[in-house]
Amino acid sequence: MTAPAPLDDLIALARGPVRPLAPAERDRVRDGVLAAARAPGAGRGALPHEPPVAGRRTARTAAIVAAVALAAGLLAYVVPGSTTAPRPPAPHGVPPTPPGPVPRVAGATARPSISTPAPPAPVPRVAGATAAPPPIMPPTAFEQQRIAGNKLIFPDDATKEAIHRAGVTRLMVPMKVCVTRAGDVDVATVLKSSGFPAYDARLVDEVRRWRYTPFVIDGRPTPVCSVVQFVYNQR
Amino acid sequence: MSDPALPHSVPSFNELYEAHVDAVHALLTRLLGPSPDREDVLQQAFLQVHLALPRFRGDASLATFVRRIAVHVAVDHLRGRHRHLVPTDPTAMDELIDPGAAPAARATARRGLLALFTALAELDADKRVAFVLTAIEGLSMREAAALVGASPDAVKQRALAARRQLEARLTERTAP
Repeated sequence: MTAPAPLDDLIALARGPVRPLAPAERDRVRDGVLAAARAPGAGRGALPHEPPVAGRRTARTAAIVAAVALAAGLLAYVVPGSTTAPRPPAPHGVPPTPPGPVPRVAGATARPSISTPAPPAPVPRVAGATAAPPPIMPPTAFEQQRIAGNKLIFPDDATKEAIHRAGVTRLMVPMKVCVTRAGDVDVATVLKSSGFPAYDARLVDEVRRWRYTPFVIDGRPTPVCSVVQFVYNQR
Repeated sequence: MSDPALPHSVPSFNELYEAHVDAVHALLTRLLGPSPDREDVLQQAFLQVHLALPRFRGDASLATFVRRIAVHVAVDHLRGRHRHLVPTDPTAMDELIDPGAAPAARATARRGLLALFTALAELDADKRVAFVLTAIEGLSMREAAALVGASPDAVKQRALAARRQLEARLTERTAP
């Protein structure tokens, strides 16, 4: 194995100049700031010692929603399996994840991985809604509003055994998750089954307990949806 | 008669943004690593700057004012569910590597930076920020303390604890 680099050498590396933002990135960030600052509910100014709170954070969320529109990607929760053995390469160009429970945000390029097998339309909608469907949140904004609930959801022992017997090493389960104005999950639907109904049911059960800070768009609490992808690895 | 509420000259937000965005971006890159959600944090930091600017009293430099807000937004981000979000792609480290570096040196730097940011991700937010500000950004304990809102002694303790953890982690990761 390669000899360890002394910490001071690594610090010297990290002190190097950081590549500046491209002009387009600078403009995008500035425009996002100005849009969020103009949004209703941006509120009074924050003091440096004040952490962001929901009202201010949701102003940014509104800007993100406006900027990203419906280009929602996937939010993936990687649940480590029973061993720490190297994982197989992720499909669809998703980079491998480090060991341990890592919430991983997949880009919009990963979206076809759920839109293809999903039986209904690729964009989640509230069943039976006659008004406009809830906005689709981009994954990072959706995750940032989550305030409670277990995101590391493992199969029960019997299901683990069944997974082992089936020779499966990775389960990927995309779920549609919709949140009410109050921040409760009212829709948690498996878009593509893992093939192990007990695990699907456990995912639905756990996700229904999640809680979010209400999403405020244009100054009003708004129901929203997104897609959350769970990845479970087992060897 | 001058307006007592405006004893100092406050630039417009656009002027402030143009003057400080690169420095804040670099600071956030070192605090958070070249993670994909850094742009969100940058935007959030400047939103807080925009909102706080009318109440800037001039008791610190504008650069300190902006950096203090950026550090607090970064700490808030790290205390959330994102502290373990580590870039796994070594090429993401290129943002911190001299573009003119030879391929072999670039590969070595990528591995080193990836190891460093992976180890930093395992620290708690306070220790991580104290370490980055003092060891990587090169601030004094007093300067770092002013940014994080803690005493210099507290920052020193956090930075030392972070160094010990990092050294142990890096040794462990490269042990045969």
